[in-house]
Amino acid sequence: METSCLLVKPGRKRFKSLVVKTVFLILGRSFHAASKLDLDIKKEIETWDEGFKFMMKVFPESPSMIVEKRKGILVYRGSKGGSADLTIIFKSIESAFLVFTAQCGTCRAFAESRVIVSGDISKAMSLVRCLNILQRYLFPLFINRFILKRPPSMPWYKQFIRAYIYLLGVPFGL
Amino acid sequence: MQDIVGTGNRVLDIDLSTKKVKIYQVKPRERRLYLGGKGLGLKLLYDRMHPGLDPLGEDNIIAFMPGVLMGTGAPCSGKFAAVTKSPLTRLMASSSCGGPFGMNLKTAGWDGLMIRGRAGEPTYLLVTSEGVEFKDASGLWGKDTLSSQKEIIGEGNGGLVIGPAGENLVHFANIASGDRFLGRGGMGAVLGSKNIKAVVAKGGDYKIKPADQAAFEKLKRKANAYINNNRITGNLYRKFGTPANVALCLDGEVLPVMNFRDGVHPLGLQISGEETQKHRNTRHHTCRPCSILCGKKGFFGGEEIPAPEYETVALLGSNLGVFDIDRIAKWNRICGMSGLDTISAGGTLAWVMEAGERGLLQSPLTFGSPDGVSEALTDIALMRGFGREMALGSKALSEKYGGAAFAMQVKGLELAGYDPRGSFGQGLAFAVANRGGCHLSAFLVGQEVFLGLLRPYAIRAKADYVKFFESLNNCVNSLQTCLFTLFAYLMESPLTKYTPNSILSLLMQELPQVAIPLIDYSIYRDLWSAVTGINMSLREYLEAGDRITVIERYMNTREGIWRLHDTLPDRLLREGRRSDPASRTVPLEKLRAVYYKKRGYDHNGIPTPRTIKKLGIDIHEQ
Amino acid sequence: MLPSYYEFYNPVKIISGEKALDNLPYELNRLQVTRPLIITDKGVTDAGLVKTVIRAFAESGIILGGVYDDVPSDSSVTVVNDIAGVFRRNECDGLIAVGGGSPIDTAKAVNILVSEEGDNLFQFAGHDVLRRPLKPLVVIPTTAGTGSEVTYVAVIADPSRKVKMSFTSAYLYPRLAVLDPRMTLSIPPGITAATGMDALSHAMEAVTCLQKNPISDALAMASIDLIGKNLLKVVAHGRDEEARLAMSNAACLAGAAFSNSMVGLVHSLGHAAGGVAGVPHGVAMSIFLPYVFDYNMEKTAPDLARLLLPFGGPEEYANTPPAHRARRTIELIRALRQSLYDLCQLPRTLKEAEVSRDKLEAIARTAINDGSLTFNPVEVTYDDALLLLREAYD
Repeated sequence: METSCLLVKPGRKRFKSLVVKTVFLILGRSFHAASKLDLDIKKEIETWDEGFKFMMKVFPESPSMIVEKRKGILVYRGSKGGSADLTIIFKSIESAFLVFTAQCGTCRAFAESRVIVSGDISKAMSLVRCLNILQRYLFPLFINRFILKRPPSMPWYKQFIRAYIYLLGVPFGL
Repeated sequence: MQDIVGTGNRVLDIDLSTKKVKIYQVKPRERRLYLGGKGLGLKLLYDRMHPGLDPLGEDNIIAFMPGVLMGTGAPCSGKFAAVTKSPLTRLMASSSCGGPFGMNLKTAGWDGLMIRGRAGEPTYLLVTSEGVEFKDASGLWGKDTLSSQKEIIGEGNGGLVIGPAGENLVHFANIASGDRFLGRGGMGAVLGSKNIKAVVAKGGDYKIKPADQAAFEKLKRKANAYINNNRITGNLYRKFGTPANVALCLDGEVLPVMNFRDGVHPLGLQISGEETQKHRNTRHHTCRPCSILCGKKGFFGGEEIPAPEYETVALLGSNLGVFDIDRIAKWNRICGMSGLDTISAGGTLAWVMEAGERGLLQSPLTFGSPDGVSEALTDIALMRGFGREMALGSKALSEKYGGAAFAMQVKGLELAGYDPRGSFGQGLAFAVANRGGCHLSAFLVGQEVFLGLLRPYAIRAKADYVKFFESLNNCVNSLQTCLFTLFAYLMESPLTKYTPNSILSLLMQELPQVAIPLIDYSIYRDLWSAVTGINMSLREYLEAGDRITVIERYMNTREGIWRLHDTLPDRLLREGRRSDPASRTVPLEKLRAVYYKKRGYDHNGIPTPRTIKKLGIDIHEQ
Repeated sequence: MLPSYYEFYNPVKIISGEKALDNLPYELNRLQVTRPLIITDKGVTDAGLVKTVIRAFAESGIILGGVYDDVPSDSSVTVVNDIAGVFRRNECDGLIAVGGGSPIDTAKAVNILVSEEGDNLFQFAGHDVLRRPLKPLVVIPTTAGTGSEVTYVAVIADPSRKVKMSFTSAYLYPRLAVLDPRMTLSIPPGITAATGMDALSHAMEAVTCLQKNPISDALAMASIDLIGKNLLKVVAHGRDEEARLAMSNAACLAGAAFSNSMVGLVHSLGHAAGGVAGVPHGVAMSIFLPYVFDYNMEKTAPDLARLLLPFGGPEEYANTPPAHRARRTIELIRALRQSLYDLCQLPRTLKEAEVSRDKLEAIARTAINDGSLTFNPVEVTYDDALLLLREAYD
């Protein structure tokens, strides 16, 4: 008897990809806001070329997030836009979900090869430092203690930047 | 006789190489920012020494600083400070001593004495109100501290002498003044390297008068009443001396036993102050002037000699596994006569015993046995045989032979006799203390074990108290008065005295931000203001203490000190003790991170530019 | 402790031991290579090692497609293009790299060009850019240190743009590594010591850094055991074949371990010191090891303690109380460095390596942009790196 062997089309993971898409949006917008206000991030991106573009995406293609350096600050360029100078790729949506829901730190994600980098590694190191600062703004300290090796210091005046990011940066993309 | 009202502000600055003598006039701003004693001494050295200089070279300066209270007759004000760069730690070291030198220097009209350069031949200095005379000391070279003092110090004068250990540049050689010592950090070697056997001060030409005599008298009465009423200063220490700590430490399981392997020992009480008092007929033998009267002498092995202090009893006794007070007193005498710091000597010998046990080196010394200890101490002082290596301290030994995990030192300075695994706050204090493994920068054993006001194993609030006491102790050491007055002045002030202990400890442990501002240390500030006539808010006074801590820290960071050095031996961080079923170890990282933040240091323990600026410390271009 | 997730890959066949080289023709036949090109450098030729390799082909019926022995110590794009030309002209179908890190990296890069049939190496730079299996590459290491015979990385300089391009791809693994004691006998003591410390740093960082896994641990521990027993021997007595072979094996084991577990701060500082101040890689590794381990101690004490067993031997391990083992490991590393200094003046500090103090800032700045920092268990900022460099200075 002939076995019926048909093509299988795996379903979708709508919830997880929605979460990851949302986090990409939040990240992109807060990158923009923080790059205007935070001196450490400013110092870091000073070394990047004007027009430098980086992308974070989930294998194979989407969701994704593109950020570009324009006039000295970072601008969120949405999720479409082809190639970038530096790309950080999550190997699966599950990996991205783990990282974005703070179940797994960025450094652990790298250590577990859940993330790969294509492009100039030294720029990637610079980007990771920015990302660490950003995470410090986005998450409370107890979460940061869990996901970062050593959370960057957060003097009182940085609470204003945090408030800006939460109240204006993320909701309105300012 | 002339009067000095307040402070004389004249510091004698002697260059031995050129035999030039200058007088430095202390500026009002320096006085206000750095108070006096230790603080002012550090500031003087900060302005004159460059980082990286050789502690045993000509460039090193040693400063002897009587405080502002000296000579006024304030209670427990017979103390003076010395500041220099230590050969043992290669960092700043300060030490205080209750011998007669300070009073004589002060009443000769000097607020300080700085010695730099190197004399061509063995010399001793005679300091009078006129200035200084350089005298030949070749006949004294090689003599012990006792006979040298007898020989050159006339009746009523005060001297500083080094023993053979200092002459031979033993890295933990001390300086004697009477039967009291500038113990820690190897100051004896600094004098030895300068070819100075002794400094004699002939005082009595000046009378020191407080600026506000009436207020001062009132304060004196209050202070004396506090001291006499306090359980520790008025009773325990007065009766039994500092070895009264033995029993307290046994209770809290913090007595170092056999190179800090354990915190208690069944024979421990044999070496307690109470036992010694009972069986060795001890009587007072103290600093002058003093109201606590903790120094003792007694009959040990049939001879009347100074009784060992607690640290000596712990480090040369229980820490070597020896519980025989006669032997400890004898070793104490050997150290005193040859000019060795008993804490570092004990710590080093204990390390040698353990290293021998583990086969890292061959040594006849073993725990629990007194055999060979006297010989080893003499060998160290004379730099004979293996003594030449032991003379460099336990850190240097462990770098050569291995065994750093049980070299009980911080930054090169051997730990004092309290095991921080039973007193976490003391662990932090040891780790971050500027001069190394020092118990006097902040004595948290006091609150955690002796008084029971803080929970010894809690992490919370410890950084606050280490910071507070470091600063306050610096204020005390800059006055200068005895640190033991802290027990009396803080505990006997009305608010503390009449608050029930349970509430006091709850408040202190849980709400340090509320408790610390309520601590009444105004008596120190009032004494300072009454003597100098300089008015100062409590806040400003304590900030001076902060400044002294931070300038010393800053000087150390220029020598390469940072977070990596603010640590404890692995034994304290990773190894539990048999006496402690919970195998607790000091959670240093957490404590340290909080401490840095409170102090205004960055995460590596470097004072931030903001902190330096806020405290008004001048930055010198290097 | 098992990591919650890890990856491990190593497809290299290893042949090791006496006359291993002489089985090369058989292995090439298995790989269907009939005309291999030998890539090596002048030093290797001068030491007569290439002759030994060629001798191994006697009576084998394999014709060598040429010997290119002009690889400089810092391999560049020009050389790679040059060799690719030779490969094509001589119609070769496989590569044999004989030498240390540089000829091996060059051979890997040549392989990319000739297999992908491109002529612009730049377009293949980066991670996982290669899309198909490459031609067979055989590696015969003549130093015991880099472990390049079992790694998937190649670094090639592009002098025109003043950058170093790195190529990483699972396809870059050689097919075969030949460890023959004859190939390492003539290395002078200084280089033997430095390369040996390089291997030790690979193995020790493999055990202490974030991407560690049980398989890399096992390899690294075996490597450390061999190094602990043999490094001083080969530095003192270079002609000791058994010890030489042990060191080659150790380097290979360490290479296999660290290419899967990655390395950390020792390498970040080492790469930077090499790039900024020209400190040879092995020397830099030797200098930084104990300082970095001190720095990482707060997180890695349990791993460092485990290292004592292979490094110090069972007696040392048993005699040291558990709480002291981590510190003891660092002490033994220091002792080993001291012995190497006594034997062949291997520098212990940056000062001894003739680095000038004013370069420390530049080294620190470069170090924090080094990718290996990601895998260091403790965070490292510019300030941390600078303080650590000062510590290692004198």
